[in-house]
Amino acid sequence: MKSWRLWFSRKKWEQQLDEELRFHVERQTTENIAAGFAPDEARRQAVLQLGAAEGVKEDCREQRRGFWMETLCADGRYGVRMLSKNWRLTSLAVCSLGVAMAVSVIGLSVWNTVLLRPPTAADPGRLVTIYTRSPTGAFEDVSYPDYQYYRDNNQVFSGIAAFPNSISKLNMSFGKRNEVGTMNTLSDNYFTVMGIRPMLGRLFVRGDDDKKSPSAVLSYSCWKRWGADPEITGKTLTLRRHTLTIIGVAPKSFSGTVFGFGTDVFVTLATAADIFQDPGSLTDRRARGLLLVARLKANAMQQEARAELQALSAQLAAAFPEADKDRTAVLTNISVLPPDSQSTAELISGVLVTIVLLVLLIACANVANLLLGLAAGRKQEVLIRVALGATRGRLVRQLLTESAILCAASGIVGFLTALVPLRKLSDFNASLPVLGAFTFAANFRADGTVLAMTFGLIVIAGLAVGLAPALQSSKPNLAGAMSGEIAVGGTGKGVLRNVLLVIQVAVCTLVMVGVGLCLRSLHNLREVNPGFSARNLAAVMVDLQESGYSEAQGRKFYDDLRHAASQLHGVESFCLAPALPLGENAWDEGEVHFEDKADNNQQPVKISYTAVDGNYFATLGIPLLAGRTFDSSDTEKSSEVVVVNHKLAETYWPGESPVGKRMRIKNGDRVVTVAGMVGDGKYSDLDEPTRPYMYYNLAQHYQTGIALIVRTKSDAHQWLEPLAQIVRKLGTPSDMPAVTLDEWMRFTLFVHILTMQVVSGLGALALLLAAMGLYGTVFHSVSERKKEIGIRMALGALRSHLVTLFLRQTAIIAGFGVLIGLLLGIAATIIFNSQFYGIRPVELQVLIPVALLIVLVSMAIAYAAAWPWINASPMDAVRHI
Amino acid sequence: MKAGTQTPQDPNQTAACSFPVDNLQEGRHTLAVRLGEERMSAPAEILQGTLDLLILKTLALEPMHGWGIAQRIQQVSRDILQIQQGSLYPALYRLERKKWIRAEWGASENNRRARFYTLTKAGRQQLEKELADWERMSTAVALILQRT
Repeated sequence: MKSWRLWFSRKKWEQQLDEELRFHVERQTTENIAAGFAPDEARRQAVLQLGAAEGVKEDCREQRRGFWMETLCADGRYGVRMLSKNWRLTSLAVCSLGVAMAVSVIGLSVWNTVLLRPPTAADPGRLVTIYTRSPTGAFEDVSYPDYQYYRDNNQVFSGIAAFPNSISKLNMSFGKRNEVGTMNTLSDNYFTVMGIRPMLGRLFVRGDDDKKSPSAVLSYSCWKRWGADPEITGKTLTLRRHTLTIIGVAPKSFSGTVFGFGTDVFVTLATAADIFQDPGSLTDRRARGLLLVARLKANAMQQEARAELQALSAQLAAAFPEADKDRTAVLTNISVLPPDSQSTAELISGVLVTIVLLVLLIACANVANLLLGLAAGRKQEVLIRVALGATRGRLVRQLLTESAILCAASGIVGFLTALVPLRKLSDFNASLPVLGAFTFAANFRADGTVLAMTFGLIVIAGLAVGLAPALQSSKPNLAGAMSGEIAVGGTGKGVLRNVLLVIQVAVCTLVMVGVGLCLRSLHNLREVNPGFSARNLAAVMVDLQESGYSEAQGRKFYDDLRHAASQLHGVESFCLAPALPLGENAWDEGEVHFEDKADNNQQPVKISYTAVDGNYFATLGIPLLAGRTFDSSDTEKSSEVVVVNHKLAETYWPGESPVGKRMRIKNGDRVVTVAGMVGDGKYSDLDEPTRPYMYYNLAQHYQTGIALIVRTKSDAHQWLEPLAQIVRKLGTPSDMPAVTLDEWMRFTLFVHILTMQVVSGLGALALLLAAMGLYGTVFHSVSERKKEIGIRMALGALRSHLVTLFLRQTAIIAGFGVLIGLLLGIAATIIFNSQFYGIRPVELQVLIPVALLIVLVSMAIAYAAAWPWINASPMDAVRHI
Repeated sequence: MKAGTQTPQDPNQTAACSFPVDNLQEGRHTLAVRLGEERMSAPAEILQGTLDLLILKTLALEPMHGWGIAQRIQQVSRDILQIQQGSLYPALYRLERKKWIRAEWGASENNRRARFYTLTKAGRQQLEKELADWERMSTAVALILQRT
């Protein structure tokens, strides 16, 4: 019922009650007159017989339907009045709780989006993800021929779509526009399976893969950027010199198959194979690069689908043992993330949500403390209520209504505050270091689930915040309070508040330990010796395939590049390598058979490798430990040589010199000789363990992607532009800007730095909230004892004595909190040890500064909060009531 | 009530009679029992829910307004039971909320606007149930009183 109607009907209801009772009195009066009373006396008697009219009415009102709602409204109105009277305290509480709520909502939305919400699709409940499990149980993608087999031979799915879990950045042009854009590849039936409808034109359908004229679908954001032409279908765009016809525009809600990244152009798998000149991706069963998403038929159960997939993969394994032996197709529920990153995402968002909830806990403790302080000032009011006959339950209900209002207000503030950054995250451009500009479309939704969870948080927070103060202050203690007691020292009442404070300090310490660990871990990573010296190195990367070079042209290009680099002023040395050290593409993996081993039947070993030229080691500063590096005598024609790292030599030829040893590569077809041994380094991640690694000779292993790395005389930044110029002059457009190796190293720590920033932000928030709580509590507990202070002062206590008195108390509380927090921190370090680099369970370099910081901050705050009271004139303090 | 203190001595009776015989905890709806000529003697409290029963029974005959109900109960009980008028109206509102009686405005015997209460179908059923309960209860109490 709407409130005004309730109000209206209530007014009418009151009138009726009045009239009914009036009638009763009149009727009784008539009766009394008939019995012989004088009219005045008759009326008096009638009223007496009825009893106290207001009491009767009150009893009747309690019987009324919706009476509890009226009480609630009354409590609510009263609560709002009380809160707005103490608006300073209220706004402090709403702010701190609101900020914590906002952070929680963001955390929950991330969690919700990453783990719970299905990707954009019609009826996502019937969609599943399919991947294969290798013999070792590891996650593996599916090859195109296998995908075709699953697609065409199953009975349980109405369709299976495929896509590589990656996006590509490449040069694209449309009309006069020429830019580096992102391309997303998907199978021709992807849109049909997902049930995505076009915004404009049409989307791909089954069979588009086979058509001679390749086509493309634009994303909504790209279409907008390119002028939102409603007649865009039929026009053409160019991707890496391939001309594609635009057939349609995808809806706004679909940003691509790779979560978190926006896409400009969608193409089919066949078109992509054409563009990347990689026909093998469509025919080779070992080229596993696809993730499958399938729609279950209306009556099919996941169980059946599982069984059928198992049968199909068994058939494949029987037909193609060399590629598919022991591999099974596995089915999971669909989510925005691919299955292999699921567990990481669970862990990360789990940690995030935990920290966020801890911050919320601090804020709740904070507000509970403020309310306790508020309640202390309301003793008189509670007393009067109790004296007028209010029950304890009624008092608790009224006080809880107040905290509920407070929490609801903070919840609303928090939710609305959270919407702003969430909206921002859903579509924004950011320039990543090294990789250049990217569109992000994380689309973190604050949907119904999050709304429900937020509501739950509000309810829990309301109870958590309100219950303790309500129970405490409703404890009727008429005698004590009426007599105007003087609180001295430990009056038991502070216990609850002190417990809250200890919790707050402990949680804050825990979060700060987390911040410390992140910083320490990052510091450790920066200190790691990558095996080369990154200072004064700059590089530029070129993709020769994109330029359509043949191998012979490519080798010519190598020479041109070397020549141009040698002409550069201030370049001390330079080299060519297919990729920069560290990072995703820094190495390949190949099977190696070791010769000269007693055991001839030994299994091939997988060894990571890259192909570099002879100057690589000198340029990067990788020390040569034995033998030689590549030189001009090693050519395509001469026998193949490799350089191995120290770890490889130590592992496979322990105690021997590796130089001159031989091994077989490429299924044992080719024999290579070890020419030299160099120092160990880090190859893909800074936190990886030392592992065997080897270098082929670039002259003997042609690479289509090539990087020119130069060591410069001074700051490498000055050579970025000259390097880019070289590449431009040679007529090979580069998708990536030239970088310094320092930048590149920082980029490999990007995720670590981002995590550190987020955790630091939360840590600062936790510290701020805890500080606010501490201030409020100390302020109130000292204010309660102002009379005591006055008396002590009058008796000759020095101010410094009083300061010590209060600081000692705070020190005890903070000490307890810090101790508990440190223990929790050690536990957390042990649990999350794998997430940090070079961290011991008891990391004193983190624990000691955190403990000191928190104790010092608490003392400073306690001093600031207590000083005004101590500094007051003793006469004021004693008189002040 | 003497009965209240005696019931627990007989376990069989306790089991058979499940409603509270003792209502000292809550005596919101009380009836004053007039004993002889002593008008304002201490009101003897009668079983909880009895007022409901009396109201329902009274309304079973015909629709009546509040004052009428009080008057009728007093008359029929030959002035032994006198309702405290203040407790009548909350009881009426409670019964109305439970949908056992229905209220509507009508003209009183002296032609004034008055609120008349009518027994509903649900109310009639409730009356029968409460009458049956009352029978069982009074039989039980009588049995105990006879034995002692």
